Parts: sequence; C-alpha cells; structure tokens
Amino acid sequence: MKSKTRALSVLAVLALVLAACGNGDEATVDPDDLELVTPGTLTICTDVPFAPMEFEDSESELGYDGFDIELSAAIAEELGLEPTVATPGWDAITGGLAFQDGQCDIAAASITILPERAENIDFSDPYFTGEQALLVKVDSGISTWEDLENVAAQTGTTGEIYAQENWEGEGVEIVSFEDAAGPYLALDAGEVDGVIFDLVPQQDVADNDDTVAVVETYDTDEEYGLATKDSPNLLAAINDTLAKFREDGTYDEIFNNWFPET
Amino acid sequence: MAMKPRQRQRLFRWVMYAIAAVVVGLAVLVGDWERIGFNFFNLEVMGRMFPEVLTIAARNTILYTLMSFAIGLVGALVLALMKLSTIAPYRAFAIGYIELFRGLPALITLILIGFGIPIAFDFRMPGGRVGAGVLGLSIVAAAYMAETIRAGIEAVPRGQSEAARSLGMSQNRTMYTIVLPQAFRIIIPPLTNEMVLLIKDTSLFFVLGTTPLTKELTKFARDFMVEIRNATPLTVAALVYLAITLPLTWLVRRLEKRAAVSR
Repeated sequence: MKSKTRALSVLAVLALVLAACGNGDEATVDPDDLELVTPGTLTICTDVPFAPMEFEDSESELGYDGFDIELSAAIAEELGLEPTVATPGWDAITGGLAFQDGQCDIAAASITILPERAENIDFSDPYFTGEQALLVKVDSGISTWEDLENVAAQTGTTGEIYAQENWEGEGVEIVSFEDAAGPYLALDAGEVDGVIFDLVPQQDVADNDDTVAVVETYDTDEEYGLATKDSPNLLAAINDTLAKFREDGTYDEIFNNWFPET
Repeated sequence: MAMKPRQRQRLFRWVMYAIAAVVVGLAVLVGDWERIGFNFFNLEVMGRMFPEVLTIAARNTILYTLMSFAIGLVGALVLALMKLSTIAPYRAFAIGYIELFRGLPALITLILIGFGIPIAFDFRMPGGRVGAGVLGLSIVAAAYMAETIRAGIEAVPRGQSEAARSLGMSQNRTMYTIVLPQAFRIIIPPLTNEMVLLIKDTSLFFVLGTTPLTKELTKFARDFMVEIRNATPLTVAALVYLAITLPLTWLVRRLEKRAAVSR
C-alpha cells in the first residue's frame, strides 16, 4: 500500500518536473553557480541501512529510497538537477573527506547537527528532529538502561556518543560496530543486552520483529541537517528550497509518505 | 651499429634508473609537503596515541595473531594428516573443509562464526567476541596452513619413511618422529608467510564489535583518525605493523639459514 502511494507520488513529482521543463527553465538558481561534482547532477551521499530514512531499494530509480532520499531528490529536481545517490561511508561523509574527494555535492544521511561535525561540513537548516532509543529483546526483561551490562552502538553516531557520556561511567560496556547492521546481529547472537540508536530506525526494526522492543527513548535535542562543504551557493539554494517545501506542503507530503501514523 | 647484448642490457638498466628518479623527483616536487606532514606525520597527534597504541592496540593484535596461529596450526596438522590418510571419509572431510574456508573471504567466515553460530544454536562463544574472532581466524588459518603442511610432508623424500618402516617403526611413529620434524623444517618460511597474513587479518575483528579495550591496531587507528580528523594514526599503525612483521621475517631468514647449514 505504502509503496504504491510512493510510486504514485514519485510519478507526480516527475510529471511536475517534466511539465516545468516543458514550460521553459524556471529554476531560480543558475546551476552553473553551484560547482557540482558532475554538472547538471546533484550527487547525494547517504549511509544505509537506516530505514525508513534511507535504505537500498533496487526497484527505486535511484537505487535507494527513504525520507532523506525522497526529500533530497525533490530538492535536486526543484533546482533543475538530476539526482544521483552515492554511499562513500559514514565516516567519510561526516569527516568531510567524501566532499573533498569530489564524491558528494550534498549529504542526506540523517546527520545530527553537532558542533564538532560542523567543523568539517556545513549544515543546512534542520529538517528533522531525532531522538535516541534503546532497543532490547522482549524476553530479556530489561526495561531501562540501568539494567544493561553492555550495549551495542554504531561507531561515531549520536547513540554511541550519548552512551559514552551517560552510561559508560555507570559501568555499561559499549560495544561499537562499523555499520548499522552489526548491533542487531550482536543482539540476536546474545552478545549484547541492547542497541542504542536513533528512534526512527529502531522503531522500524521493532515494528518488523516481535522479539525486540523499544523500551526507552532519550531526548537529546538533536536535529538532522543536510550537509555540504565549502559551497555556499549550494547551501543557500538548499535552505531556500527547504523553506519553500515547508511552506508549499511538499515537506509534509514526503513526511506523510514515510511516517503515516504521526 | 648494433649494440652488444651487454651494452643493451646496461642501457636498459640506466633507462630504468632514470624513470625511477623522475617518478621520485616528481612526487617530491608535486607533493604538498606541509599538508602531508600535517596530515600524516603530525608529532602532536603521535604523542597523543601513546601509550595506548602499544599497551592496548599492538598488544591485542599480537595476542589475537598468536592465539589464532596456535589453534590454526593444530587444526592444520590434523587436516593435513586427514588429507593424506588412506581412509576416504577423512580425505573427503579435509578436502571439503580446505576448499570451503580457503574459498570464503575471512570477513564472511568471521561474521558466520561470530554471529551465525550463536544465533543458530543459542550458544555463546567462550571469550565472547574476541573468542569468536580468534576461532574464526583459526578456522581460516587452518585451511591455508593444512595445504602448506601437506606439501611439506610430501616434500620429505620417500626413502626416509621407507627406511624407518624397514627398521620396524610403526606407520604413526614414522610420521611423528621421522617425517613431520623434517617437514616442518621445510615449511617454516611459508608458515611465517601465513603468520604475517594472519597479523593483518586480525584487522577484520572490528566486524564483531569492539570495546575500548579490545581494539586492535587498525580499528584503534581508524577511530583515532575519525576522532581527530587527521590521518597520522594510520601512519603510526603502519609503523607498528612493520615493527611487528620485520623482526619476524628477519628471524625466519636466520632460522632458514641455520636449517640450510644443518642439512
């Protein structure tokens, strides 16, 4: 059901874009000013799996799908650019290397805006508010982080940072994984008591697996931002487009595609 | 007119030297040495890595390697004997095992052992994640070393075992006291090669999850690099790897020489 509406909405966006092209170029930004990796194309970097924000989907035109992907593809189309998706790795994105190497124009990877990250990459205005959540096995009887002996996290994520700052001193061992799949495998294997990660993907995991549940959420005042590096024109264009999407309902439409119940 | 072979050879060699000099010269001229120095040879960053890079990271790398090598060697010996056995099921098992684990990337084997077995059998590895990693790497190492040991056993002249048998030694005694000691002398160089490969394969342990105390060199350096956004930790890790492997290969060269003399 959901995927059908999504396909329809993508079609609708495409139709709009085609119509816009037919009426002559109405893009407000001159693409030549954006200094893109590939002229005429917006190369969007992301890190998967992080459903429903971003995940691989061979049936999608871009090869990836999710809230971040749909939003940034819509921004690309609004700017008169062809979207394409690349996955250079989380550390390369948040450390800014992927931008310096010319692998990305923008990053849309549910990146929490943090001061230390802002030293390496330039964040757009926030477009999403995130929370951290603790996911455990239902039959473990764990109801709060204080019951944990150890917890799995992805290296360099807000979840890992939160656990280090708040739990490590209280005797909770933090087991770090390079990718987002490792923590759940370790939980399944009984190697760890719980997983700390952003609420949105954790809820998605819990919705699809009856043996695990989100037992606690932690308000961390974190906001996700799109990111660029050393390209102020592009950043300004992104911020303008985000503001426009919020006004004209495009943002809500995309949001409702991926989070229908809220 | 035509050059003599020796002249041609010499000319060719000088052309090679010239090309090498141009390549090195270009690298020196084109490289931004200030940036290279800051990013890869940053003394302040190096200072911050000690002593943990030695007391935790290098120690873990060596420990994981030695444990995997020891267990793998025992496994390899058993497999090699099975493969040379006259009993068909033993041979079949050894061939299947060796082909399977030589054919799989070590990374996949580690994930299958570290996560697959506990999930499938609800069984927790003794030693936890490190235990699973060591077991996984031992399994891979055994597959590779079994072939090395088999080749070593076959390289011992048949006359040796024939002589032992005709002196009345049993088949097993011949293998353990006559053939294997000679075989091991032959295979010390390739076994060292295996160990050097194993040292580097311990960098795959990260897939099973790490805590601050279980990180080996590569993971330690990578995390440090991400934290401070400077590639110097990789340089330091590279130097520590060399500090481990170079003495090892040097030692083996000496052992080889001694073995050659005593033969």
